[in-house]
Amino acid sequence: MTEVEFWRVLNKSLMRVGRKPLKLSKGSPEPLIIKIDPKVQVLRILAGPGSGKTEMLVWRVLYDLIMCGTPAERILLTTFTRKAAEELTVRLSERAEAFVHSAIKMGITVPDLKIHDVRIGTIHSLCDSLLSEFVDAYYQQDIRLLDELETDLHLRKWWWQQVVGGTQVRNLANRTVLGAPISRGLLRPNNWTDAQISLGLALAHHTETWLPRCSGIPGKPDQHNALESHHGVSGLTAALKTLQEDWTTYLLDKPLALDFTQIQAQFLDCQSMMLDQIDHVYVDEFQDTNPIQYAIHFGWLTTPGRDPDLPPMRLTVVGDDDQSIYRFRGSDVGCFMSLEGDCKKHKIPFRQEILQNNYRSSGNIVSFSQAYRNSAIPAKCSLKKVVTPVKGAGATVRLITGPWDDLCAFVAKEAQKNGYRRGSKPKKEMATLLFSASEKAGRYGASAKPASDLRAALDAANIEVANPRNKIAGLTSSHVHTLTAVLSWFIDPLTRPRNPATGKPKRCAAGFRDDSMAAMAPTVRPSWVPDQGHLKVQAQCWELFCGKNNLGPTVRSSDPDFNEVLDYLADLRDTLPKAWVKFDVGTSKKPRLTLAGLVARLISMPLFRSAGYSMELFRQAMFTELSETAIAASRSTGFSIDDPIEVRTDVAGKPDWDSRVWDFIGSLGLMVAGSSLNDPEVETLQQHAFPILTFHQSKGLEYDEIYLAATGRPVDSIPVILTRVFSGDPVNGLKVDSSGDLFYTDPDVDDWARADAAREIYVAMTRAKDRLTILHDPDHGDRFMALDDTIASLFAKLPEKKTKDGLIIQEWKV
Amino acid sequence: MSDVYQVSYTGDILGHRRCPRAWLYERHVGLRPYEQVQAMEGNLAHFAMEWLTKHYRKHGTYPKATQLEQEMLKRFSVLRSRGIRSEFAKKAEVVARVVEVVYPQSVSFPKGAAPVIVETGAIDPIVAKCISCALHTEYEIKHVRALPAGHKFSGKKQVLLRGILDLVIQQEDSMEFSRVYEITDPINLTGSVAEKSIKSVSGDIEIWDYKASKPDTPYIHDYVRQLLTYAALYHRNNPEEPLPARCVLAFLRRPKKGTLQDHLIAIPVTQELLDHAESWTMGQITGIGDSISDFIASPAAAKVGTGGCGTVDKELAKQCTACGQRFDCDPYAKGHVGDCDRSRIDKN
Repeated sequence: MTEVEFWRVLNKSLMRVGRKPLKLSKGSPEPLIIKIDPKVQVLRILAGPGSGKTEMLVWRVLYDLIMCGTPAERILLTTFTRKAAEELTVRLSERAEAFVHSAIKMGITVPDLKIHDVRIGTIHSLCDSLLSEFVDAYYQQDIRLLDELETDLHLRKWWWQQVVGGTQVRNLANRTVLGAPISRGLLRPNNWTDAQISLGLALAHHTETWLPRCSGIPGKPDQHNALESHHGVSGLTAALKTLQEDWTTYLLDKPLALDFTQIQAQFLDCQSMMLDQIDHVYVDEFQDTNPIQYAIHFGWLTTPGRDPDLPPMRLTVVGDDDQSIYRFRGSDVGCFMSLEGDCKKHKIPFRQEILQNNYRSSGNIVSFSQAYRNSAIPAKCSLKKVVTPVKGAGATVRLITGPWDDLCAFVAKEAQKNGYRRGSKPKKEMATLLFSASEKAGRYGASAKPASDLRAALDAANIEVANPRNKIAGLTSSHVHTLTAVLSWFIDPLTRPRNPATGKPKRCAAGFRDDSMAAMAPTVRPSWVPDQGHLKVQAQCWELFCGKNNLGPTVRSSDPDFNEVLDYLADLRDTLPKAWVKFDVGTSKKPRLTLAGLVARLISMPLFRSAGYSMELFRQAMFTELSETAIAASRSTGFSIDDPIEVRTDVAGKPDWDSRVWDFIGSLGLMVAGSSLNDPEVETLQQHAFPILTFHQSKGLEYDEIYLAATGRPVDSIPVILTRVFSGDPVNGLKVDSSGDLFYTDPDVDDWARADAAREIYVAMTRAKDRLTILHDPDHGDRFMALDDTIASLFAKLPEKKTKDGLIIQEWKV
Repeated sequence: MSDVYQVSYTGDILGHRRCPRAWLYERHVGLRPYEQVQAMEGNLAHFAMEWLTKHYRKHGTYPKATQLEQEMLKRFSVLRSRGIRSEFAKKAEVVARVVEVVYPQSVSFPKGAAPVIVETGAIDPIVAKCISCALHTEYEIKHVRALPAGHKFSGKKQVLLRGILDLVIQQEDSMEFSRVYEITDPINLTGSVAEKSIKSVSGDIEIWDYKASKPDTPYIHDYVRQLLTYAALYHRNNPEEPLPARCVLAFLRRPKKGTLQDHLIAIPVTQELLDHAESWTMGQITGIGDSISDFIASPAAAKVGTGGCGTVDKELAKQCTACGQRFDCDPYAKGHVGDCDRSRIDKN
């Protein structure tokens, strides 16, 4: 195929899939992006919002396959989330097929593209699959990749092991890592978070930032973490190394797995073994790259050992530094910005192309968002670029001020006007974006729940709501909670007998650490103390169904469906141990009931099955996933969720559960009581529903009309400081006062922290296609609900109008 | 929200055909099945073929039976820890049965004792052929299609059909097939297996699929449709290659008498059949949309199985016995009350 034919077929294919053909004239950036220039090894595509970057990336891959003849399996295409990877897969398949068919129609021969062989995925999944394919030792061990939920569980389990037994690790963590006031201030602000969460954060930064930036640099000794070298936390670097090793040993010993951070470290170690297998690496959403990922991407270019007969390795990255919003998860926009300099340093030919046309948003929205960006993000924290609207000016950008309840009613009214109603398709797609969409009390103060207020207003207007980050899956009324509670009750029922010493009723369960109370429980005490989260869940559930302190085997609820479950489990608790005893003496067959089988039985009972087609039904599915995660991962114990539940009786006839049953309920309790559970994202339940989303969740999405609220989150400098110190760089004047508050005198930290906060709002506002409305309740009382300073200043001098409902509207236009 | 509905051929289309209710609870809602009886053999057999092909490509030789056994034992443990279960009670027996498919003379099953696997014994000639002529193994098909008018996938415009083609062979010389699936109804792609000989010639492209069961399975028509659809999509991806000459179903459960060759069923391919196969598959996808739509209205009323007459058929019932959704499945309970008794603990 000739070059001319390629561009002709490309434009035909675009029309075939309903898109406009590309301008192929000189100066047009698209052909320069798609075409692979043999002289350039690294291409950075700086792409503003709505500029069609994914389309460009896909066509560049196709050019690579068709015109450069790069074998598909030698192309690596990585993006940030599994969902984005799926979308890339679909887009690539679709465009490839359109191309092949357009070419055939035009009488042009296309080689077999073998599109299915292109390696597409998140960086973690690609690391895992490449290691499995090319590193025998990794493959032989059959290491599994843990997802975030499983990692969280294992981190808790690992920490719990330290709490009940591991003195050395616990001391290192508590005294050296979290003990110094300055590190406690950074990792455990205000002591609000659990130790293992803080430790997880420290270990993640250690692996993702410190490891690639401060260690293993040829010819240089490892550099200390700046908290140690400049801020007086002695022994920190070594302590983190030891903890890291212990955590990895735990993972490889027990679940035989690696978490997302460890897999990257493992990959970096082995990258030289794979240099000859890949020719071109494409990275989407490059602005959200963390230092270890950057080391991997850049490592393809600089790691010595690639066969000199192979073509030079290429790297294409695409992203927008102004949309970098994941520093809190360890990403560093500095990676995106330093690429050009690093290429120069290593004499790697580099080029940058800019996609500046915005095809998504109206002129007013583009203009407003650019005014916001220019004012809110300090110039030094942003690469120079211009974003040009392709559409006309469109509707004005509005700021509406009033009481939150009235604003919610206003949104519901406008949604109704746009055709939002249960069961019908709206005329326009709308969404409300908040910094946090949690409907649990807490984020916005003890009782304030702006997302649930909005839900109530939309419910009242007969509008279906979709809010996957409502975080209410873990509430006591959820099926996840109830299922955990009844299993906990089956294994270790909480009762409330009278304490023989005092004569007063006191809660007891076999899992309690108090010997005397545990001895009074109706179940034999386990040989070790599992985590007690499940007992907390059980108590909350009983309070909901049976009333406070109404505990014990004979307790009844007013809900007959709940009683049916209790009766069933009580019978089973009686018959199952007897059946095992009979099996032991050879008078009966081996019982085969497993934990998974028990869950399947419970779910078929009316209490759960009557959920209908609702989120509750899908939360049951979430529970089965949690229960599987809690046990199936314990490979070294050989216990699977499909192994029979073993239980015997003691001399008094009390059930005596196998230790693995205790392990299961301990793990499950840890997960349900300790994790922040998000609802499963059920597409059919989101259909025609009005979305309430977080700013972060809105990334990659677009809506005709957007309402933006809760823009006032305080600037948080801690993530910036963590990046700095784990990179080995000090922070001027960093200290902590007697109450644990952090202070510093480094203006650079403030600039980057301000930029981080502004970028979240910038991402959210650039999701709007036709109309952007900002909502503000000045009397809400919660700091997150305040109005962002820059937005306030952009509207400051604009005239105010009052609506019939008493709300104040200001309008911004070009 | 993505406008693409993803469908896996085996997991969704075949699963939905067997029992819409089980499919809806397990795949649509995500209530995980707690047992996957028989999945172990299939999984191991696929893994064995993949491992053998990789080994052959790397070393240019076939491994020994005992080497394969070691790989299989390792794989067995991994699968078991992930909840995959076997029809047979013992690990050694399951592994030996898979090794026997590849090395028929290397494996023996002494009565009352553990199976014995020895190093000597040649690789089965059919397996050797699959390995040495492989053009692709585990070829992943990802095909995007517009959803037909009137479909019930609310909000979706396209479907992404996924499938994994076990093996694509380009024959290097002649090979004889003694059983052929003759299609009598090309629209519905039904027919029967005839004892008839056909020969491949050098250069023929063949699409192979391994099945862990025996060739007398009642699901053979569905397997034929699956393979013809795969062949159609493979050909779409590779329009410059000649049309695949045939599809081949390879049933890997070793026959008590005869050879593996007796367990191969060839399906001659024409462009017309491929077109019908694609249309049939799109019809099934529409059916999935209808099931989801009914399920949304009332999950309790989800349709059960394929047997009709208010009860599940015999073949399906073999799988229902391990289905996590059987405890309140009325049609199944009609003939299998004991299986649906929640208080039974001698059965999972």
